[in-house]
Amino acid sequence: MSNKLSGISWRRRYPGIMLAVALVLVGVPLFPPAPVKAGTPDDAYTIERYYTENANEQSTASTTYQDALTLTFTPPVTKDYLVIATALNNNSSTSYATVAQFTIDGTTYSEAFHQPVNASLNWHSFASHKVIQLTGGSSHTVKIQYRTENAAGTAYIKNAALAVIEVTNYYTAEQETEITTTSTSYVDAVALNFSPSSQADYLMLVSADLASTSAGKDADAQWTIDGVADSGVVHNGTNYMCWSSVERENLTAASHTFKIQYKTSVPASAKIRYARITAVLASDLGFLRYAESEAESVTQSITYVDKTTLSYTASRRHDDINIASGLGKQENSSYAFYANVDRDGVSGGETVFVPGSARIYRSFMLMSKQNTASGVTTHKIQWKTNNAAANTEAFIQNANIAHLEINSAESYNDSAHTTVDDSFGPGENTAYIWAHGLRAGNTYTVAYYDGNPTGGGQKVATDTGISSTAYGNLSSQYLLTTDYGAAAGTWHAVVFDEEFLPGLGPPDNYNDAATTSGYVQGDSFEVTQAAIPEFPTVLAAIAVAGTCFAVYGWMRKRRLAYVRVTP
Amino acid sequence: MSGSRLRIVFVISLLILGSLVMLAVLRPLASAEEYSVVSRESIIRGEDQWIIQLDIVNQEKRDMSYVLRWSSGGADYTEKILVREGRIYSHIRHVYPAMVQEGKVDLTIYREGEAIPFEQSIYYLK
Repeated sequence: MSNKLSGISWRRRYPGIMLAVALVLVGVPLFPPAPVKAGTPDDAYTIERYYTENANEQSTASTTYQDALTLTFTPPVTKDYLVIATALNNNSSTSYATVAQFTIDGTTYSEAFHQPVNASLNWHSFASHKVIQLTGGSSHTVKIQYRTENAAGTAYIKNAALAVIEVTNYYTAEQETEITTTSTSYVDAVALNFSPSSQADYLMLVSADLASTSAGKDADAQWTIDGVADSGVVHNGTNYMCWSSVERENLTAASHTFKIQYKTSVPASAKIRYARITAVLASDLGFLRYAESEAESVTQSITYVDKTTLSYTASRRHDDINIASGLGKQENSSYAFYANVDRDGVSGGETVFVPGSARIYRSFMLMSKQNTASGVTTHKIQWKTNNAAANTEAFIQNANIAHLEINSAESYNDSAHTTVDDSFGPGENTAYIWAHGLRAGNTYTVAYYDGNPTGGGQKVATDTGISSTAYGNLSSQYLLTTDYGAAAGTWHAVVFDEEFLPGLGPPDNYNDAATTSGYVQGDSFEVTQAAIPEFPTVLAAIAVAGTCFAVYGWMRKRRLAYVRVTP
Repeated sequence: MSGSRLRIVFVISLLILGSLVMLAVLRPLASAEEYSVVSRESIIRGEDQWIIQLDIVNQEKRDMSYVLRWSSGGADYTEKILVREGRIYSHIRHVYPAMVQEGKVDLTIYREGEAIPFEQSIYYLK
């Protein structure tokens, strides 16, 4: 009985069931639920940067330039780049110099001659920087080269490093060709004046080649901030030696003037060239941690003494570039000044020189790149003398450590950001962007550009008002199926600093994004057509109709006999 | 229910289904094809923020530029967007408590060059 009743019930109900199924199946593609695609501040997004280093010692007896380190790369678009070159060099002869230069596409941007007073106590610092526009789509080559002044002396080089970092928000001034002065008071070689749009940290880089025009005479140089002397060097003799410094400055939204000044001792002239002073918005480079010890310190210790310590706790593994600089001198012209750049007890480079004159103050700058695990990391600048006797003290000042947790952005296909995915295919419908190395607690916008070749990609979405974490991270995501008219191909997610964005936000196409104020970094990833479409509505309708007919047919076959039940 | 009545119901259901298929293909429900629409508007309450998201669907048979303005009294944000014909643009706004004054956030969307907004929303965030 119950079966018969059930049979009647099914037959009565199935058209209604079919109708409900049809409504649901047709309705779902017509009115899809809002996708979850919002950014969260716990995770984060890559400006173009290129880096290479070779810590190993190399040597040559050649008087023509040999490549010590080469970095060849092809930037995707024409942009301005900050190029930093550092190395240590020596010569086996005290009669000849090791000559080092750094070049960009074959053009020299610094050339220094370092002749040791004591060849066994000499690893002199060679360092310089330059901001330059590099053409997108073309191969560029940056080099550190070295040679000996005379084949009787062998030239050595080690701890060579090159970094090329895309910059947008920066100010720079330079004096490339040689100028001279007979003034014994400081005169301007380079002046840089600008007014930041708002208060922010800037990474200051100063570098120059400095010498006297007369043998045995001194040439002095210093850089000033708003008329106040910051730090400087004293070089002796006619060989150009380089001077370099890195420092962080928190600049207010007011006019600021930076200068490189130089002077001579009498009777002589001082000469300077490749003099540059650059201020880069720190967030353009990465998340900056910084420590400095500017006051002059002295030690008689023949074991290393800490001068500057930078200790931090990283929340997660990251890449970082570390730049350490300082000034050193030795009270006794026959003994040595040593400085060591240390990271968790491991030396990242040791500079040493015998000055030959107690008045000489020389600079050192060393750069390295690491992949740092989460947890505590400690960077130090240490210094010592090589004789514990009185009047052989080593002096140090302006010892600065800049640790740049590098801006980087990667795309993932999982919200936990476990595996970088640069190619989105079937079933990979959400692009998760994770960026780090940003300004902590700052507000960012992430704009998404599709693979449309026009303009390099059309803006399809913006994720705005994202606050980065205290660690400078943020994340954003975009559901690729949102707009099935979007073009497959190379997509871009671009992070903008909202503080510097122009009034109408990110531009409509990617090519303009790369040159827009506030551009911090971008990530590219491939999106195939299969990753974009939602199940198209027409196909959905056909599928629904087919399903309904199939259900109907199936139910007809299972139809029970029609039995009238008489009470 | 007799067999003939059942057939009638079945035929009616097929007609309804057919109508829905036509709706899906021709999309006459979007009767204001000449106007853009804001769709899939939603607010997500996060741990320390609200996330407001919406799509702008350009149904105006031509490329359209819009100016989208967020105002919360604390942090305002303006963006010009170009939405190609037939395309969908997504916008997400993160709102943090410190940004919200008077407990509300205003969103105004203008067609570029027009003084009268085509969409105006006030989000009361508590």
